[in-house]
Amino acid sequence: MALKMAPQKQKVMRKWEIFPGRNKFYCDGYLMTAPNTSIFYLTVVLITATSTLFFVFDCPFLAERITIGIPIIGGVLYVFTMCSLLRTTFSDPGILPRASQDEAAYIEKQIEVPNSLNSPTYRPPPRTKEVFVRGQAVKLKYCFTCKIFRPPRASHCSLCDNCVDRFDHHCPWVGNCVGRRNYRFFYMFIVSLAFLAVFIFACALTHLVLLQTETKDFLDVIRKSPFSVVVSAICFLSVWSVIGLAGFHTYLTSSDQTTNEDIKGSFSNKGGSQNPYSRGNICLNCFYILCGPLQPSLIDRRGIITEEYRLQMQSADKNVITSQPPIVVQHIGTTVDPTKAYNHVDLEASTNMNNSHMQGVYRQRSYDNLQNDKSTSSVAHLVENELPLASVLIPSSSTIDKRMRLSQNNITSSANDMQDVNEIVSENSITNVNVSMEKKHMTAGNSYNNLPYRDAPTENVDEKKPSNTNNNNSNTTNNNNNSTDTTQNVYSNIPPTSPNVPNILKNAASDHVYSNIDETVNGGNGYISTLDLDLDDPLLTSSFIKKKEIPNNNNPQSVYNISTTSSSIPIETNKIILPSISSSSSTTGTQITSIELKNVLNAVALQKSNQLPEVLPVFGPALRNETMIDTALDLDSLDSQVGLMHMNKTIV
Amino acid sequence: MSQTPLQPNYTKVFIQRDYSEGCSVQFQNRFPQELEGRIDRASFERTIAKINEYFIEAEKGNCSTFCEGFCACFSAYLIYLFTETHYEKCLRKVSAYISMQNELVYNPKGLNLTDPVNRGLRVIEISSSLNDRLST
Repeated sequence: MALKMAPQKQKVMRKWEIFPGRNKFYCDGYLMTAPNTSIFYLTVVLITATSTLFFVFDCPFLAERITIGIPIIGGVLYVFTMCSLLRTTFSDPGILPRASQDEAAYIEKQIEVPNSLNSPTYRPPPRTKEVFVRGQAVKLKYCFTCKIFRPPRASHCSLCDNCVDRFDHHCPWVGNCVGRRNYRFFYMFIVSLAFLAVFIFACALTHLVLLQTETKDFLDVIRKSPFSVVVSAICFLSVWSVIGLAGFHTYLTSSDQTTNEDIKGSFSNKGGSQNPYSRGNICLNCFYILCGPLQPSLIDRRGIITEEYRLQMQSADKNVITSQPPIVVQHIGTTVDPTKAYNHVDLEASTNMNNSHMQGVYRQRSYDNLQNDKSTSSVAHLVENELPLASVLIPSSSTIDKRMRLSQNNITSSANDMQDVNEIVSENSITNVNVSMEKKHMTAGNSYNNLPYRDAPTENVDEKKPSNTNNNNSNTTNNNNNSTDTTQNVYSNIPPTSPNVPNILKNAASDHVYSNIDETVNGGNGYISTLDLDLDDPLLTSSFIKKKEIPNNNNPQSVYNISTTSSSIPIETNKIILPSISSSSSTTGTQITSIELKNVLNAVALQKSNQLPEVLPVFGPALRNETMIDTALDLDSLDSQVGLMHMNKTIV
Repeated sequence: MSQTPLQPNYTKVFIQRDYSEGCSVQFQNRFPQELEGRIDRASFERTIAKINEYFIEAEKGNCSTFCEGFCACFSAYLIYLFTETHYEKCLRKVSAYISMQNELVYNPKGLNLTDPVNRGLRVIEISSSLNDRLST
């Protein structure tokens, strides 16, 4: 396919080779069709086979008995039909070329809403522009794919991924869209096919009737000319739909409507709107549509690509990337094995972009997912603009996606990455668990684990380089980066404050909990997957809890000896807390998790207040930081303290 | 919203299509405020009017265009393989006119018109070679 061709410097590149739609091109751009043309070949075979049978078995008899004109007329009709069909299929239906980068930016500027910059949750309004066509208001919709306001009567074909002027419909039978430029060919094809079908049917029937009069026995007739029966049967079955279609399109043509408008009922009299495009005269409409001046193709398929053209058309994609909110951009590039992740994305991205300008550009995974599904590409654009939604909704799918990727491609490498985890897990005698399973659990585990391990990830993401400060930490970092977008979003929310703070918790707990409480929207991103925790296998959960102990040097030996059941108990406690809170407050993950956190912290603080003369974690950043560190430390050592369990329950 | 002024350093102006007379290719004759001081209103309007005139000629249905259509139809559209259509001739005229206008009027003032065919007949692009002067 054209889009997948690598650019070759020595060869002259033509525009069809980097055409952004999904059309297929043949003969160096002279011919173009829709992406899927299998039904078109069926059409060709049906017409040709039926006609061939007719010419071979019926025509000699009829030419001899009636007139030589019959094969001539049949031949002319067949040639005309096939010419119209091929012309419809292989010509440009009237594709509107996509806007260049500058034009798109100009339109963006014109429709920009002033306060859209401030609020990340801003959802762009449905972009329409109203124009008056002969005094009648017509809404022009903005096409997010083509970056243009579609002209009146144009529509975006989701199969070909193009805006088509005077879009009629996408016809799989002819293997192309039917639009302004090829409607006349299509109409003539339909009409001539109707004539051809009727003609062949009539001739085959005549053949049968003449034989019948000679032999007086119908079975004998069938035996003599079986193919006439076949031909007339095919024609009989197909002629009705073809005639119906021809009649319908004759009506549409005479009133200057398109199928699209007819289906939508754009000009139904109930709405009080007349068709503003009609010339008011049936003959004029027909003449104009079928024989009027024919606009040349606007996409200039065989034009030679200039550097300016490439820049203008292709950087439109880059523009999308840079226009993303800064928080969600470019995190996965810093994974453990960036080459693999990069390749993976590159493969996906190359379906709609040329590889040449992918260098150095990394596209966000969630965006990729959406973008690959072409039908939702406009939605992708929408989602892009709203940061919290994008970061909240996507992770589940992208996590799965990534998990699959890991299990398929990266088993060995990720096994290495997970060495640390494997060791711990093996102590719990879960030795050879599927790596992807581990990943899954670590996903949840790490997001829960955000509290103790914030330091390394923060550094990693903000400075875009792997941190090698602490062995344990860097391992966890890698796991984090591998596992979820969720956690990445969490890290990106954290301001890059004081990476040198000795205790990891300082940034993490303080900033994050702070954001959870004060700005639930931002903080919520991180804790979404805390919900996953509830589904976790207690064994694995315990494993990461143990792991958590290591950097804190909180008597690791004793931790390793803890049995799985006792270590999973605090988690169970959280499970108990969670639903009750959620039912009373809110159902969003953000709310739940923040409240849960608060509760746990309160519980710990209460517990601490029994031991230390320290204040509860309240206002004042410094104070809170320290308190939080302590409380989080206590959280880590919860597993050995059964008393807290009861306290949690009492608080709830 | 559509009246939001552009950024001062914006270097391109796009003359949009005018759909008030239907789907035929016509461009808005309204003088864009970004060109204020760059070119006089009369010559801009004259250019646009002339381009519109060419497109009216290209798209009008008179005897010759209908004949052309009939011939094409009766030749099973094979004639299109060999001849240049009326529309294409008109587009050629538009291109010639625009390049002439560029030479005579626009280029001396640091402006450049882009042939609308290169922009899918959606817009006439007027770009400025002086980056900072195309402001209101």
